[in-house]
Amino acid sequence: MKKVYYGPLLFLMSTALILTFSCKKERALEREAPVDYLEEIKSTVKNPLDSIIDTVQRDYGVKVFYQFTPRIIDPTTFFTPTSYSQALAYTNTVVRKMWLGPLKQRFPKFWAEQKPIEFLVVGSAIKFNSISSGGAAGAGLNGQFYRLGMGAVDNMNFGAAIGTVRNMVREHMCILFHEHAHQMDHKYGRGYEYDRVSRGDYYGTPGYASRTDAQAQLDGFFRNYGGYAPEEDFATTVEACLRFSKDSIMKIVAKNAKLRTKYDMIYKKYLDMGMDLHQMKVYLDSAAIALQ
Amino acid sequence: MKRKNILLGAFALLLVLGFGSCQKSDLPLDGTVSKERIAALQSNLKKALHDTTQGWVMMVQGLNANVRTAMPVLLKFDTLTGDVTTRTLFSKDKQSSKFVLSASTGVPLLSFSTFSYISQTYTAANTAITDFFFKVLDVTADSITIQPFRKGNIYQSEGGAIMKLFRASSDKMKWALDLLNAPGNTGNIFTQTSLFGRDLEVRLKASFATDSIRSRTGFYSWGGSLNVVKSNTPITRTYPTLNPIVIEFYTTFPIPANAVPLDVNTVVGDGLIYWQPTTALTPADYFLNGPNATINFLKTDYLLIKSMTANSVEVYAVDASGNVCITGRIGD
Repeated sequence: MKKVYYGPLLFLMSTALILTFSCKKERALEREAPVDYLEEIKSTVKNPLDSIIDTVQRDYGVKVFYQFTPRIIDPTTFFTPTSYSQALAYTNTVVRKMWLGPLKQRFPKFWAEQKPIEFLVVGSAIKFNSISSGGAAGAGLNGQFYRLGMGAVDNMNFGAAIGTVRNMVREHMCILFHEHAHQMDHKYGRGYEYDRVSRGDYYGTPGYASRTDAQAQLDGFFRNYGGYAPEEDFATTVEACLRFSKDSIMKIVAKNAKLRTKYDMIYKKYLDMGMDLHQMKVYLDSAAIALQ
Repeated sequence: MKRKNILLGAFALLLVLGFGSCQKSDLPLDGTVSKERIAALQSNLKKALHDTTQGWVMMVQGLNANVRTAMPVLLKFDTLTGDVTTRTLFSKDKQSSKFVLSASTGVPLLSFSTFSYISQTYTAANTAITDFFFKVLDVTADSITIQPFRKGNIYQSEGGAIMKLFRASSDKMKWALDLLNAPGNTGNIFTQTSLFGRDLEVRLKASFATDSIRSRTGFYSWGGSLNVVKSNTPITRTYPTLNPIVIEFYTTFPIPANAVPLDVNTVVGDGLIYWQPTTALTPADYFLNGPNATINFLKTDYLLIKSMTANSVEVYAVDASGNVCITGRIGD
C-alpha cells in the first residue's frame, strides 16, 4: 500500500485554502488627489492690491506676496508683515515702476532668464534666530533661486515729498539688486578665480565695521561691508555699479588693482547675462525721476 | 505517526486561526481623516469668527510670571473682506489689518497677515503673543482656543502658550467691552507737565497681596531722540499717538538713603501708563532692565488712569477675569 502523508497534505491544502480566501482581490489602484495640508482657504474677495499683483504677474511673471503663512516663509525665519497700504505702494512703485518695468524694457534677456518668480514684501528686517534678536538682521531674503524678498518696508515713507520718495526708492533699488546679486551668486557661484583675487584681505566680522568706505576702496572693496567676506564683496560691487556713475566707478577701481580685476569679472558676467550695469544705473535714475 | 499528524493538524489550525484573525485594514492612509477634521474645524471657525456682532476678546498676559494683570483686546473679523479690526486700551482708534485662514499643522491656522497690534506685540517678545500665526485648537459657542505657532525663538520648541478668544457679546466679557468703550480721555501724563521734574510718591494696593506696593518716582521728558525711541518701541510704532517719557524709579522700599533710582523708558497715552521692555534700543538699563525691574516690582506692566490732577494720578489695573486687582495713586 502506498503510504499517504496526511500530515503534509493537510498542511499544504489548508495553507492554500487560507491564502486563497484571506487575500482580498485588488482592484485597480484608485488615484486620489493628494491632500494639501497647507492649502490656503481663499474665500475673501479680491482687494485692489490683489488685482495689482495679478497684473504684475501677468505682465512680468513675478508673483508678489504680502501676506504670509509658514508655507511661504519657513518658520525658522523671523519677521513681521507690512501694512496693506505700504504693500500697495511698494508693489506699485518699487516692484512695477522701478524694478520689473525698466528691466523688462531695457534688458529683456536678463529679465527673462534671471528674474525670480516670487517676490516677498516684508515689513520688518529679516531676523534669523529670534524675533527679538536686536541688531543682527538681514535686508532681504535671497536664499532661493526662484524668489527674492525685501525687508524693512515698514520704514519706507511713500507719503513723503516726491523728491524724498525718489531718493528713497532709488537707494532701495541698489539694495534690491544687491540682494538679487546674492541670488546670482547662489545660482552660478562667484567662481574659483574671483574668490582668490582678494584672498587674505577680507576683514571678517566685526573687523569691517572699523573701516571706512574710503579705506575699504584702497584695500580693494567698494564698501567696508564688501570687505566682510567674498559674497558681500560680490554683492556690494553690483550695488556700487548701480549707485555710482561709470566715471566714478572707474576712479574707484583705479585705487586698487585687485578691485579693478574683480570689477571687470562682475561687469563682464552681468554683460554676458544680458545687463549692462552702467546703463542700468542710468535707466534707474530716469525711472526715479519719472515717479510722481 | 499519529502523534505527528496531530501536531501537524494543530499547526494547520493555528495557521487558519492566525490568518483568519487578521482584520482587513480599512484605515485610510491618504490623510482623509485629518482633512475632514481640518475642514470641520475650519468651517466652525469661519462661522464663529463671522457670526458675531461684537467680535472676540483676547486676554493678553505677560510672559513675566510676576505680572498679575492682563489687557483685553477686541478683535472683529470680517470673513468676506479678510479684514480684522482691533481695539485695545492703547487707543480709542480702531485699527484695521488683514487676516488669512490656512491649514498648516493639521489644524487651521489663523494668521494676522499684515501690520497689526498682534504682529508688533510679537516683536516685543514680552507677552504670550509669541507669533502672529496661531494654530486654532478648538471652537465652541463662546470661545476659540488658539496657540501661537512658535515661541519667537529658533532655539525653543514650537507652540506658545494656549490662549483663548472669548465671544465679546457673552455676559462674561461685558466688563471688557465696558473697559474698552469707557468714555473720554482720563488724562495723558505726556501733556500734564505740572507732574514733571518732581518727587512723586507711589502707593498701590493689590488685591493679591497683603502689603501695599510703595516707592517713589519722578517723571521727565526725553531729550531730542523722541522719534528714535518711538520708531524702535513696538507699541509706539503701532500707535504713534503714544509717547515715551523717562521715569526715575526705586525698586526697593523703604528706600535706602544712598539709593540710586533706575531710569526707565515709559510709554504714556490717553488714560494709560505702559512699560514695554525692548532689546532694540540701548542703553539696556533704560529700555530693557529698567522696565523689567519696574514691572517685577509693580506686578503689572500697565496702569490705567482713573483720574488726574496737577499733582497726582489715580491708577488701577485689571486681572485676566476683569477684576480690578491694583488700585492706587502716584503723587501727593
